[in-house]
Amino acid sequence: MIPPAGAPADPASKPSGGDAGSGTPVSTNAGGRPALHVIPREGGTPDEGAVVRRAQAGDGAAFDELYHACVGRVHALCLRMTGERARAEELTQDVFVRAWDKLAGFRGESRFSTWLQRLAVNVVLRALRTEKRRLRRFPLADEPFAGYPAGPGTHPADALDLERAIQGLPPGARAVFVLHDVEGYRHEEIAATLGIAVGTCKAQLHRARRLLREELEP
Amino acid sequence: MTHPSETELNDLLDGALPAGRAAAVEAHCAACAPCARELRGLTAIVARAGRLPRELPPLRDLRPARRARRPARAAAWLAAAAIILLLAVAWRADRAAPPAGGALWAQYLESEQGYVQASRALEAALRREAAAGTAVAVPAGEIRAVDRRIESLRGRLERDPEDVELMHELTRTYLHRLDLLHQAMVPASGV
Repeated sequence: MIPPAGAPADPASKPSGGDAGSGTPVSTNAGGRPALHVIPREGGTPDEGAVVRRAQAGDGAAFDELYHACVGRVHALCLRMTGERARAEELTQDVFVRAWDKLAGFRGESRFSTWLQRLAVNVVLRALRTEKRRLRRFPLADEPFAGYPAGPGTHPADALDLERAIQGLPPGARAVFVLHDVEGYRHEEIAATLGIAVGTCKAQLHRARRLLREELEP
Repeated sequence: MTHPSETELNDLLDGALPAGRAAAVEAHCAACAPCARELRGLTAIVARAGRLPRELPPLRDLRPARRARRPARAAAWLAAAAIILLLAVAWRADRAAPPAGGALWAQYLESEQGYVQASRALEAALRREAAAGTAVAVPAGEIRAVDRRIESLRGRLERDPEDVELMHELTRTYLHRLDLLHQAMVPASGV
């Protein structure tokens, strides 16, 4: 699992993680942890609902459309959470395999892209927990972020520096930073999914920001 | 005023400070160069993170090979379950002494309804999948031949509902029909 400092060992001690505002039932992943519910930075396709319904009816071409619309976001999450291109590709594929299998259970209570990204977060976190992976605090041998365009208003070198610095964070701080400051989840949601207290989640975020400043500020 | 803590500066940035405290911290930062620098630094990091590209597409196609479709698989299970009910009725007809075919035939017809519904759902799911190119087409000719056989057996059973052997033959024919549908669930090549 993502090893957050001070994470409680007993799942029963975790917060409930419900999102009262969304009206969405609380779901849990295989580890009994509440799943994330909201992605404020919305994505999605203009006619997503119709495409989803076609995919649910078994239309493979429709599922391909959903894949092309969403794979960039899913892969970005996997890449930032693992820092390894090969692993990120495996997990991305795993997300879409699971999405295909679970598609019948998608009831349209959120956008498909929201549902999928939530699935991706849980797939990645479960994989990291299962593998007891420890992400390294030294520069990566390969450059998983090289070759990608920078975001709007950002110099490519600046974006790459930040991506590298994020990869250099301790695993718990990195996971919280990616989920909060990059993906846009709330502390309550992240804490519930990671099985940590909200205070611990905030402390991890503040630590991540401090470490990033130390790394990046001249 | 004492300097705000790192937590307070972060909370201010995240909009998590109560309004009164937020105003006090902002006022302090306006007058305190070190705290202002802290806040600027944090703001810059958060802003940079927010500008990172949301999408980083993979360099290769990661679409998974899709397995046989859920709708057809679910329908196939229901049809198989319904067949078991038919088998159970026929098995009871075997054990009945004296033969109570009339009553059992009525039970058989009741169970048969469940099978027919499940089978129709399976065929509809398979048609959708075949149209999507993810299953092979149902062998319509063979299905029609089996349906004619079923019709004939049912007609004979209507006339002689105590013929247990005919009931078995009908059940075997339903099983054969289901087997034909199962064969259509094999994913089409290249998917």
